[in-house]
Amino acid sequence: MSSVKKVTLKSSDGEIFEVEETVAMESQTIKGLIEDDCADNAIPLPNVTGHILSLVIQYCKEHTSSSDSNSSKSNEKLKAWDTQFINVDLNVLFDLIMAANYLNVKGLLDLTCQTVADMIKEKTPEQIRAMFNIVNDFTPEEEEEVRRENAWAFEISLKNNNVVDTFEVEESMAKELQTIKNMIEDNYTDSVIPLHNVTSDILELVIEDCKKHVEAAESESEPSYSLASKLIDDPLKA
Amino acid sequence: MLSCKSLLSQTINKKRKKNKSKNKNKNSSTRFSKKHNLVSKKQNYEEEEEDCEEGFNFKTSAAPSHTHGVQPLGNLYINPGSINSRNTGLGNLQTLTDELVLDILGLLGGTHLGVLATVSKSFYVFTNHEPLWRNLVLENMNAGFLYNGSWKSTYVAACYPSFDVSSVDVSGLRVRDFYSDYLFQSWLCANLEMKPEWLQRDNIIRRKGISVEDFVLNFEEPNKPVLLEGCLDNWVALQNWDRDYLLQLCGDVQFAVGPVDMKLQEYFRYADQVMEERPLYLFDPKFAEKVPKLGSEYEVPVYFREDLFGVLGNERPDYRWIIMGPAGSGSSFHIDPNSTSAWNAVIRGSKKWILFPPDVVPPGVHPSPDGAEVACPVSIIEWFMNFYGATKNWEKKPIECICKAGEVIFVPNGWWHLVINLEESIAITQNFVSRRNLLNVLDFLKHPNANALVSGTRDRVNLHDKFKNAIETSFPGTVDQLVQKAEEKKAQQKQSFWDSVTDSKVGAFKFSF
Repeated sequence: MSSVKKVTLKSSDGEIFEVEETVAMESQTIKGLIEDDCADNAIPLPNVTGHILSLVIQYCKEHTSSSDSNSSKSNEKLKAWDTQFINVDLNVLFDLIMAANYLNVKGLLDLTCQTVADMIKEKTPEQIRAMFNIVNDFTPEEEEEVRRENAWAFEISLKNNNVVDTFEVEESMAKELQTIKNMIEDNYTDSVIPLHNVTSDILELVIEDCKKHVEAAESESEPSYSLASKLIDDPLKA
Repeated sequence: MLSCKSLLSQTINKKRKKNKSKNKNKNSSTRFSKKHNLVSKKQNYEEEEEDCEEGFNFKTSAAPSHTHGVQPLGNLYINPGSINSRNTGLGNLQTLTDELVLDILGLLGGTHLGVLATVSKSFYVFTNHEPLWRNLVLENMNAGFLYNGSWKSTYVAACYPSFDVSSVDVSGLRVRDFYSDYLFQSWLCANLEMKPEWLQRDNIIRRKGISVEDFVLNFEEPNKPVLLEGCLDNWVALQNWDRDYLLQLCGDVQFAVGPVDMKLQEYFRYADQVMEERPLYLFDPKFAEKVPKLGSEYEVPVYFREDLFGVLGNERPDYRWIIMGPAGSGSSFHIDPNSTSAWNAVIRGSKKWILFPPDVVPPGVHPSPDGAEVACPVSIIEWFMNFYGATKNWEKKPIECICKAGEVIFVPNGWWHLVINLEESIAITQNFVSRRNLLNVLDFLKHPNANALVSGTRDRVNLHDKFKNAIETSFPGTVDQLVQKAEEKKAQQKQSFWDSVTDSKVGAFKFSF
C-alpha cells in the first residue's frame, strides 16, 4: 500500500481526481487549503472543468517530478515537454490560463501567457484579427488616425556595422532588397535588422535608390539603375 | 477594487487646492469637453442628494474623464442594451480578466504593442495602458530617460527618434461603450487628490525644544512616535534647498529613482508632467557621497546622535537618504528593515503620515508568516479609498499627522508606516540604532532569513557577528549590560502578571498560549 499522501479534487462537472499531495501543492491555492487543514474531503473547484483540470494535473505531475532530486529530467527535456503540452486549441489555451490563474500555478500561467504573447508577435493586424476572431470596429477615419499614431511600429529598422546609424524605412521599400525581404518573410524577430557588411554611406545610397524604385513602380515610369543597388544582391564588401 | 456601487453614487467635484504646485502638464485638459461620461442620466437626479463627502476631488490638471473614455463596469448595467466594446474587440480573449490580458501584453515589446493598437478599439485602449509603457522604459532605459508627457510617448521618442511624436494628438482616440473596472480604477487612482477627511486626523504628540533625556525617556524607550518642532532651525538646507538651487548644484548628477538612475534635471522634468498612481520616487542612499555639499547643509538632530551602526564604518548598511517626489508619491505600508528606528525631516513640501504599532497590522496589508515579505497590493491612494475608513471604528486607531517643512517625525522601530507627499516635497531620512534598540537589532540579524531582509549591505551573511564584535570593541560590556537590564525588566513584569491573577478585578482575564 502506498504511504504517499493524496488529496481529492472535484471539477465543476463533478469529475473526481485523486492526486498526490506534493503534486497538488504545485497549486498555491490548493497548498493554502491543505496547510489550513481544509483538504480532508474532496476540494471542490467550481471554476475548472474536468478536461482542463486533468491537463493542469498533468502539468503539475511533470513539473513536480522534475524538481525531485531522483529525476534526471533536464531543463531541455522539460521545455520540449512543455512545448508539446501547450500545443492545444486556442479555447483550451485560454481555459488553461484562467485555471492556472485561479489555482495559482505560476509555471503554467507563465507558459500559457507566453504562448499567447508569442502568437501575437510579428503578426499583422489582419492576422491577429483572424487568429482571435476579432471584429475591426474602427471607422475608416479612426483606423487611419490610429495607424498614424503608431506608424513607428510598422517600420523596419536597418542598422549598419560599427556606427550606430539606424535607418528607418517603410517595409515596402526594404523589401526591394531580396536579402531583407527574405528576413521579413521568415519572421525575423528583432525589429532592428543589423547589416554588418554595409557602411552608413553606402546604405544611405541604397535606401535612396530603393525609394526611387518604389516611387517609380508606383508611377509606372522607367526605373534607372545605379551602382549601389547592384551591389546588394552580390556578396557585400565591408 | 472599489465596488461598483460606490463608484456610481459619487459626484465629481473639482477642487482647486492652493498648495498644489504642479501645473506644467502638457495634457491640456481644456481640450476635453465638460460633459462627464461617468455620470449617467440616473445619477444626475442623485447628485443633489449626495453628501459632498462622497465626491472625488481630481488633481487640478487632470482630465474630467478617462483619456480614452473608459467607463467603470457599473455604467454598463445602467445602460441596458449596451454592448461592451471591450469584449467584441478582444475576440476569443474576452473571457480573460483585464489583469490577465495585461499580463499577456506585458510580455510584448514596444513594436508589438504598437501594431496591436490598430487591431480593434479594445486593443487600442488596452495597449495604451500606461503602466505597460512605463515597464518598457524602466527595463530598457535604466541609464536615464527624458520623460515626454506620457510613458508611451517617452518610449517612442527614445526608440524611434525619426518619428515625430508631437504630431500625434496627445489625447488620442476616444472610445465609446468600453467598460472595464480595472482600467477605469487605474485611471481614477492616477488622477485623484487626497480627500479632506483623509487629512483631518492629527493625533500625534508634538514637542518643541525638549531635552534629549526627555525624548529618550518618554518616546525612544517606550517606543512611541513623536513629531518634533524647531530642531531644524539651523539647517542650511531649509533656506537653500529649492529647485533652482539644487539644479545649479547637481542638476547633472545621477540619482537613484526606483529601479533606475536619473539626472536630477530629468527627474524634475518627469515630476512636473507625470500623472500616475504610483509616481517614481527619488530615494538615494548615496547622496552625500555624490554631492558632499548636500551632506554638509544638514545635521542629525541632537536626539538621534547615538548611531551604533557607525562602528562598522564603510561596511554599515545604507542609513541615510534624500527623498524627493511629486504630490502622490510616497511609500505604502512597511516596517523599516533591520529593526532600526528612523527620523524623517521635511525640508520642502508636506507629508501625510499614518503609523500603526508593531502588533497591529494595518487593514489591507498581508505580511508573510516570517515577516520576510509584506504584500500591500494596493497603491497608496487605493488604500485610502478602500481601507482608511475602516480605521475609524478600530479601537487601536493609528497615529496620524501631516509633517510640514521644518518638522521632524520620529518613527520607532517596528512600527508600520505609510507616507504620501501632499505636494512636491524634499526630505532627509536616516535610520539608526541606539542602545535602546540594540538588542532588537542583534536579535533580528540572528534570524536565519536575515540575509534576505537586511537591506543596504554588501555582505549580509556576517553582519550580525561583525556588528556584535565591533560593538564589543568600541563599547565593551554594553551588550551584556543591556541583556541584564532586559532580563531584570522581564522578571519585574512577570511579578505583576501573577499579582494580577489574585486581583479580584480580573474577571475578564483569559489565558492565551
